[in-house]
Amino acid sequence: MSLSQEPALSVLKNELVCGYRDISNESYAGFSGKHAPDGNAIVTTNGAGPHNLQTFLLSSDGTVLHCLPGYWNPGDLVREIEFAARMDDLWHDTRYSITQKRQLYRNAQLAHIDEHPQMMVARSRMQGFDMKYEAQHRPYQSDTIVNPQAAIQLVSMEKGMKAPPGTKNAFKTTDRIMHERMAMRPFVPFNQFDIAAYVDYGRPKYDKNENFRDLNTGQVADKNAVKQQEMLGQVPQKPMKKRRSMGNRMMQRTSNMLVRKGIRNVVWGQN
Amino acid sequence: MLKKTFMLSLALASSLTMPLQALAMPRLIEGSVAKENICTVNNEIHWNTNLSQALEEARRENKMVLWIQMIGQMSGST
Repeated sequence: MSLSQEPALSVLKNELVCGYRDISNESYAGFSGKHAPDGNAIVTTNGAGPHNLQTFLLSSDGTVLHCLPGYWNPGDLVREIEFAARMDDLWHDTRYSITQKRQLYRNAQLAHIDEHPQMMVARSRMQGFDMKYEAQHRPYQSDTIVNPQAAIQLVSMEKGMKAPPGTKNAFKTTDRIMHERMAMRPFVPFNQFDIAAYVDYGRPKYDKNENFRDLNTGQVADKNAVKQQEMLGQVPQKPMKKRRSMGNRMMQRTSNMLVRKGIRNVVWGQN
Repeated sequence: MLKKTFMLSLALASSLTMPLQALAMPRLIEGSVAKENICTVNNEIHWNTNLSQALEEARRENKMVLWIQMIGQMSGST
């Protein structure tokens, strides 16, 4: 997310109180390669990396007005901040009861999907590896999938193949997923917001390997370096290797032999 | 609050020119440029690291809080 770009920078600086927290140790955090501040960056799609980054808009009493999972285009972020400001006005409106406010909030969240410009929707296509994860792990349960059979067909295609007709819209876009999920969480206090469930789409790992890409071609130049890079976040532990090391095998063999000899000595009285 | 919504609408209107810029943007941003962007974000914006303090400040200034949860540090590695 390029917060340094206008109009995002001015809005953050002048209209909002900003803060952040490192969630590396949270169980719901995903993981990625470590990126130094002077490392390459990449322009990515809206909603990419939901486990690694969340942007909350909170009312001053700590009520969640909106939450953007993953990275967002700065112009789209401002659009959603403007929406959150409207929800803040609703939250403080004394003309409505809590029940009415929650219903209006749900309606507004769902209505905002249709207010998104086409370019924003185009920027909100789910990452291919996240589509694959959803189709492989929960094709019939995932709220990110519109057409499970088409989704399975789409992710099982080989690279370079043209998508069969109708399969391109098998998955919802992330702007839709965001508003549909927020509609189910009307005016929830931040400390009661179920972040783990809210950000749960796609695989836990998000990385575009931007540090290992050639600036001219955009292609990953060193695939071995990618494999060996340091990771941040909730990195899954590698499964224990079945093969024991040579040293361990020799130790085991010797101890087995001693046990056998010892037993034999005891049984036959040999020294 | 109305002023806030108005200012945000203005910012949003100015962002309507963004799509064409976005299309023209390179997908890969060189490290030196990325570092400059990070410096801008850290120099121009005061980042609270305590949510309670951020909410208190928001109440005083009649603003909303933008609270980012991320893997890593705002001015360091991510």
